[in-house]
Amino acid sequence: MNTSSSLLARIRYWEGQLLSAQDFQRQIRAVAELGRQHNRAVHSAYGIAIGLSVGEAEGAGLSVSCGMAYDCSGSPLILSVAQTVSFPQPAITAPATLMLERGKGAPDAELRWRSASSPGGNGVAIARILPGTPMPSIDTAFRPIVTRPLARPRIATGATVSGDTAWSEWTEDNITLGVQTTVDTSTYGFTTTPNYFAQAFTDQADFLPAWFVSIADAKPDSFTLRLFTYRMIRERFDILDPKATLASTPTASSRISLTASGAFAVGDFLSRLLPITSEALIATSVKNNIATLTDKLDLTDVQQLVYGSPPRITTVVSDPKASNFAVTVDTPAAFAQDAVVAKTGSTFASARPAKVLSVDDSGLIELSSPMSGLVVGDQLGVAQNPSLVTAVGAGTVTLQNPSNFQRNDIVVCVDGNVSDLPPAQITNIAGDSDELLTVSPASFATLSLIGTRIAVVQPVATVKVVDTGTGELTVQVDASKLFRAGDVVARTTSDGRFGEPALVRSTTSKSLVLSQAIAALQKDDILTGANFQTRGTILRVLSASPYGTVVQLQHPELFPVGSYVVALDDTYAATSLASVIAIATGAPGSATLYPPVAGLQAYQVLALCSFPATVAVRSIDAATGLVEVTPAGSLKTGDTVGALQTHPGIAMVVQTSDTATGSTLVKLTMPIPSLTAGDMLSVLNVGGAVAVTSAAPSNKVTLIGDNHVRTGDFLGLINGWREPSSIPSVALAISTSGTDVNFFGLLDGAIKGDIIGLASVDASAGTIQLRLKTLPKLSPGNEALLSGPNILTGETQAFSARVQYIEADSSIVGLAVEGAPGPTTLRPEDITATILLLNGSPLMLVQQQNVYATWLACESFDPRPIPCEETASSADPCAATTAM
Amino acid sequence: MPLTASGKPIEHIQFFNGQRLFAEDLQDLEEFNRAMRWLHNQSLHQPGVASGYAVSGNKGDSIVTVQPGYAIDSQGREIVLEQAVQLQVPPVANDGQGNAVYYDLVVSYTADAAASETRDGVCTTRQAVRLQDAPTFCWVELVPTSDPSGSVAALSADRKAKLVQLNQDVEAGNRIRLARSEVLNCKLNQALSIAERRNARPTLQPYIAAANTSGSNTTKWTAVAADLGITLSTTVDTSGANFRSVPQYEANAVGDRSVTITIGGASKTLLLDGFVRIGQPTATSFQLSLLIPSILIDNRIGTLTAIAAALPAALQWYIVWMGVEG
Repeated sequence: MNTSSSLLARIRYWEGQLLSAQDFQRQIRAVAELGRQHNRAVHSAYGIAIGLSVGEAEGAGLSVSCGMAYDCSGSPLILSVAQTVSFPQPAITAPATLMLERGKGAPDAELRWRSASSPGGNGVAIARILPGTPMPSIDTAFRPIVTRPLARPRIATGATVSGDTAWSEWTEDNITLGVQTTVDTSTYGFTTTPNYFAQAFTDQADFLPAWFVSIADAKPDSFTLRLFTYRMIRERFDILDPKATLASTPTASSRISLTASGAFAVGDFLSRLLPITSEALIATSVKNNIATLTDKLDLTDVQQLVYGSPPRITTVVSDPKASNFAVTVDTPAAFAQDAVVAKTGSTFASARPAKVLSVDDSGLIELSSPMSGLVVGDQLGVAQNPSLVTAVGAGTVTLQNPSNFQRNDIVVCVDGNVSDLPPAQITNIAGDSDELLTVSPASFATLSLIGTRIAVVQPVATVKVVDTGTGELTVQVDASKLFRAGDVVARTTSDGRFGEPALVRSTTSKSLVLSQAIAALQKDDILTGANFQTRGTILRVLSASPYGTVVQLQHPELFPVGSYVVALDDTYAATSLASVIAIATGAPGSATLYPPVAGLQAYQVLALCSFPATVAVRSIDAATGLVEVTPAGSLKTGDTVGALQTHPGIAMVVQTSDTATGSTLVKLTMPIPSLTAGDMLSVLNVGGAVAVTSAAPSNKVTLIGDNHVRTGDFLGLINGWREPSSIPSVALAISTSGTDVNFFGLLDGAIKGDIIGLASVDASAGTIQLRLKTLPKLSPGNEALLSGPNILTGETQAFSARVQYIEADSSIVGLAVEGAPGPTTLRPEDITATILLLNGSPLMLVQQQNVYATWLACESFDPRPIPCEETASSADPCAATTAM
Repeated sequence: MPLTASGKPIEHIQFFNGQRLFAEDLQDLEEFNRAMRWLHNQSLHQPGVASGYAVSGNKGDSIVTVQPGYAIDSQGREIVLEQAVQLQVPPVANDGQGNAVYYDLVVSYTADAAASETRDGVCTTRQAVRLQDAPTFCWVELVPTSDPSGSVAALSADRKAKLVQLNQDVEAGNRIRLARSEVLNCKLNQALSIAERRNARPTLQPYIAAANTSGSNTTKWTAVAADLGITLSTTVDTSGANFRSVPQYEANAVGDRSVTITIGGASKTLLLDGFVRIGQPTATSFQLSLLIPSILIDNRIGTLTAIAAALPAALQWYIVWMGVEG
């Protein structure tokens, strides 16, 4: 080691020593070197320590105040007097940095411009300038490195004692804003007021704090923590949603009997309800009220299940014996064998076309299928001059030879099973050669029409006698156990439509006995059972004649002309089948049924025969969840759909839109798990709710009491409720007596076993009514917040309301909705409602919940010493420093 | 125990014209500076390696290299190594049982500095004028906490006492540990470990700065009404804290929660508070926004838009904030 070159060698003095200037310089250098090493090693000294602030760019340069910095080797760089530095010459074209660097010999450091991109040197950057005219500008984005003191601000933390925090009420102008507590911080020795941060907590896991924390009266030795709860602490309404089962089908318009008493109170609005489920299992057998499911169902704490049925479908295994329908007409000569006949006149839609099997001189014409809407006195026509259909559009038909077709003519299809397609009327003719016909109903223009012929029906005779009495028909099928007496079945056509229905009179293990023949039914045809979900109560039987039975209904629009209806008994079995040939809307209105239904009485229930559609899933959009199905037009909003033979998931149709490629895009309330392209999706019939015995997970379910669950039906857990029809039917309870409830209004279509509950509320109606479990201290004008999910969309809708009226006896509260949220129909059981707790103090609450405070206090940072700027008014303070 | 290492009182040297200077005066001046420096180091810093002193030695090496460095011992004395040195690994085969022996490589201040330059006096003999404070290196064998092999017990009393003293010196910071070594057959049995070093630099801690906008800085608020309520915003300047990167900010608004606004010419009192959110944090500022939920605002006083328009002028709130960097 070459020790003689050491910078750090200490000098030693002794008497008689010959001293040279170098000795002292070496000593100074050694001390300076040790200082540098120390600054660099144990202090993070690099950067500006004092002053050195840069003034505005003015004139030809920048002013820099005096100060001190340390370079990266730990050497102090001192600028003892303020200086003005000229901008670099020639004018810069790229950013430049002003560096403070060690001076050459002089005690003071030097200011020097260097390229900003590669400053080099061993100094500290003070400022940066950007090129500009007439002079460069200061780069405000540049921030010089400033030395930080080793000392950190004083920081202290603490907490008050849970359960022993002295909360008091926080009031201003006699309004309780919340609670507050003063926290003593005197033991932490702050000499100035620190910056306080605090939070309030509770040990109670189930307590959700709803407050804003703020700090007031901050002092060096204390502060006040405030919890702002004004208008924040709310009380939750517990909303009642009583439900009861109808003990019998009502026999009067204003009274129902329930299986239990006390469910409803005077003032309740009542409605029929159907349960909702998202997952269901098929019952492979139902015997002695024990249903065996395909998988286990957890029935812990479950009292009721949803039941319903997927489409009941069976295949005809042998050709049934044909059975004929005959009419007698005034001019039999106009009819020839194999001619297609149809009803004409304004009610043409009520009967389906048929083919002539035989004609005799007495005027008796035997037809291939029943024309059940045909009435004595009707005009019967023969289809003439057919034309080939070359194309169909939305409600339009294009003909090859349109010359014999006129506007308002009635047209029928003359090929295939002519009774499969109801007749239609031409409402418009267009096209270059009048080949484009617009037809009503538009459903006539079905794709299967292409390649077949249609013809105009010209009236040729008047019907004198209708002979429907062709007797029962026995049909051998492969799944007769799915059906029972009182069902209605129809042939499923190749394009997914349904032919004329027939009533099932009885069943055997291999066959169905039908009330009447089904046209052209043959081996391998498919029969589908109808469901009776759309129902109406007969208010009065207005007239009964051979021309039909006229009944008064609240909503005859539920039963369109041409549809088939049945009268239902208490067991959901149809007792008679008829078609609707006319309706008169109004409140109430009427419907004319044909053939006449004998024995029909007021308060019997009519049901619409709805045949459930089955569609094929073509694709599923993973992003939007839209399901594309074929054929188009089979599903409608509100339908409950599922593919229960393969997946347990069930959803409701929210929205449908037909595509140009003959399919329909369907939006569902929720995705059906594992549904894939190629699956068959069916409309499900939700029958209602059935009482069951609670049990651990099992695939055996014990059903309670009378019920309509049969083999092949599905069972699922109840997720919610809805009203069965889009047309509300609401009754207002006006008195109760035991299990009886007298009401004003109508529970349209109610049958024994139906579930009755509180009607849905519609927020867009302005006022809603809720029944509460317990009535809180309320007064009119109290503000409440309500929210609930829309059953179809799943979206939560929220709105505010003010208390309008209170029925203390029945705990009913009427609320005036503020800011109408648009159509918002919510089920009472789905609503979450809170009311502002305007009266009373939250003090009790925070004391009960052991609310305590935790806090942190931190001293403010000291401003960096800027000696030159602070004393800028005096002549030249830094010059004085230099002189010392 | 005296405050300084020398035990002498700390004396300032004074000079005057015409003064007769003795060697002792200059020597005292030098010693005064040294004593003050050591006092500073001892009182404001902790013993350990401050910079440098990198050591290198891998398994199988019999020589280790120490790079230049700066350390402070427990008396505040600087231990400066100006040039790299190479040191021989202790020539030890094993602990007598065939196991490796553990040593700490320590460095200490050399109190009896070697003369690096001597000079003839005017009338006196030749003497040293410069003293070289080269540090002293030492391999300190670790004293096992238990002695199952009996190797410590077998040591002579003198040797044992010396070993214990050395270990105590290391623990007290009189000697600064640079590395720990495992020696077998006169060679390193493992690479040197520096995990046992003591560091003279304070442990790096987050940089914390806190302040508030009360006093002369009036807090400028803007208010925007939306469906959820009214959002109040203000930008807080934190450049005075000299953050070098974006710190984590914590902030709250302090002020009277009862706010009187003028709306439609009439004075209305609102009771307000809200959800604090910190946005757009930079090293020199952040934006504090406070969402006042609409449930707090009685809609009979005015629309949210009208209240939002009147609020900024009425608010006397200021911001208390803290930033933690690193």
